[in-house]
Amino acid sequence: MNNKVLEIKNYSLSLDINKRSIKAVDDVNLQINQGEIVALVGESGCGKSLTALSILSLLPENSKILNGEINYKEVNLLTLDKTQLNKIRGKDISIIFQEPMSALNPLIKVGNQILQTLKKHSKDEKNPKERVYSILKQVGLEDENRIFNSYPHQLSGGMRQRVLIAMALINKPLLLVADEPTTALDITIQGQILDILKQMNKKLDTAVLFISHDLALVKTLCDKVYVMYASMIVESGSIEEIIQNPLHPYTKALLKSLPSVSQRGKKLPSIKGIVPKLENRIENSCPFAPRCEFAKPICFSEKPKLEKMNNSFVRCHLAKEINQ
Amino acid sequence: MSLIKLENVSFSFKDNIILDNISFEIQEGETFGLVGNSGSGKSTIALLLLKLLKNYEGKIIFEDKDIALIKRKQNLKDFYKNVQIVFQDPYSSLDSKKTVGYLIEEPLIIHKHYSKSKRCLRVDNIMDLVGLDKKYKLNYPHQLSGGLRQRLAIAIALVLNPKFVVLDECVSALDISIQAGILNLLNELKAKLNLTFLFISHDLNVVGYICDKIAVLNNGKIVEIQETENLFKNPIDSYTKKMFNNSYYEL
Repeated sequence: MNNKVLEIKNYSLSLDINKRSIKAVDDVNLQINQGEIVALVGESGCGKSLTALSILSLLPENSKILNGEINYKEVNLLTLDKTQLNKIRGKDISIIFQEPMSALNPLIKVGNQILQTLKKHSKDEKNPKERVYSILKQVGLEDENRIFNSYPHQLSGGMRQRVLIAMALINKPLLLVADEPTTALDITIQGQILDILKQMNKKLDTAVLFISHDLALVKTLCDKVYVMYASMIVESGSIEEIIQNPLHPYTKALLKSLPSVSQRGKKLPSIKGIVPKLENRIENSCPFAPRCEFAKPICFSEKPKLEKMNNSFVRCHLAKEINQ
Repeated sequence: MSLIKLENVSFSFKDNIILDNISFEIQEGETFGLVGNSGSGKSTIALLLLKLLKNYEGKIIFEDKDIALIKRKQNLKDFYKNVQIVFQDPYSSLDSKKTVGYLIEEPLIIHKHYSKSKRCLRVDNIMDLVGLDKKYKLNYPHQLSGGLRQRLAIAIALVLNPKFVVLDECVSALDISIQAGILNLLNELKAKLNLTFLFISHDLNVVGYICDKIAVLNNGKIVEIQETENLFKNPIDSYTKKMFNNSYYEL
């Protein structure tokens, strides 16, 4: 069962900002098995989207890969050229984005856009239109004939996101990267989109890398979670484990600070300070140290390693001390 | 005592009905929540309360006065001294060419309050109150982080000592590790300064934490108003039930 679909190994990436080269993804290790739903969680600017875009080689121009591998099955995606990549992208690995409007072509009927994706990768498909109708139905767009002939602006946000999901899944990929797919949607629609992702994951056995900043959403959807903070993965493990028994001071503080109806009338234990900006990140120290309530001198002088503890992995010098 | 009262308020834009017969009251000292999908009319209510939209039907009453009848310049000034707003993204509503100190002072100048020296004291005092270090006085908005910028927007809203503040998605654009600090600040300020809030948000956890009473909006209609705990425990309306069931908000 432990069938690796994707493995990111010691992956680092830098961005050139104002003539300076700044590490935006630092030593990321991540593994996704077949049919698994894995979450990558973090705040804005922590590097989660860059990590996701790296998988499909969709990085911005000012980025530079420093080291590491991104292995899809046995192939290192970073060594492929464009033609080779295009055979994998859209077929074996596909992606959905946060804002479905900007990801769709406004001038082409959505049905034809899905058709293009299908035809590009399966040229000998006998009844391509039927396939598109069937996938539209599967993502919950019952009125598939009308939807096929609609332009993106004629659809609501939730419908557009469903179209994108349909397009991403039409070639039955082994891996779907979902970059905050519900953030731009209304709350009542968010749940429906998650349900569809879950169903399709079961039906097609497609593994999903779900990128989000919302732990409650992640909890309902995912098996495994990686928590990122300031370019690094600080903790990873099963979702129950991380919510019940977080090991890293950041995860602990973050979970405690979340508002909810049960906290009414109480002061929320907030985290002091702010997420360090990219250009202010100091190498060779723990990125969370300036905001950490447990921080000791070593946290400011040495970068902690990701180490196994209980059933999780945690990147903290003091993990043993504070988790007794 | 009710500070704000909406009586059968309807509002249409061209042929679209945006708000349909809305009535509710906000008591003094209350944090009143508005939840609903985008397009349900939450922000339109905020704009109406601030007298930024005309041609509505029904009555909006602030402190026993119909706000449609406030017309004289001086009376309008008095009204805006008491009713303020904080937006989702303060960056787009702040003048990028003015310093933090001046932005906070500006309402005092417009309202001809105090002498120069007293204004400075008031600015210092409000910066303390919202947790904005005085060293930022000569900085510009773009030099502040998202959390500090939101504190600045709160300072500007509070500098005239208003009674009522509309908070329109004021924590939605913030990082999750910053949200808690701003929510705590709002609660603190409310208690210290005797404020009344209208809190607009689509985040059920945030609304559930901060509001005393919540109104649920759907397609321009209020489908349910309940005290927060009751609403979460026993939602009555079918839309409210759907909203709670379909959104995975609980951790």
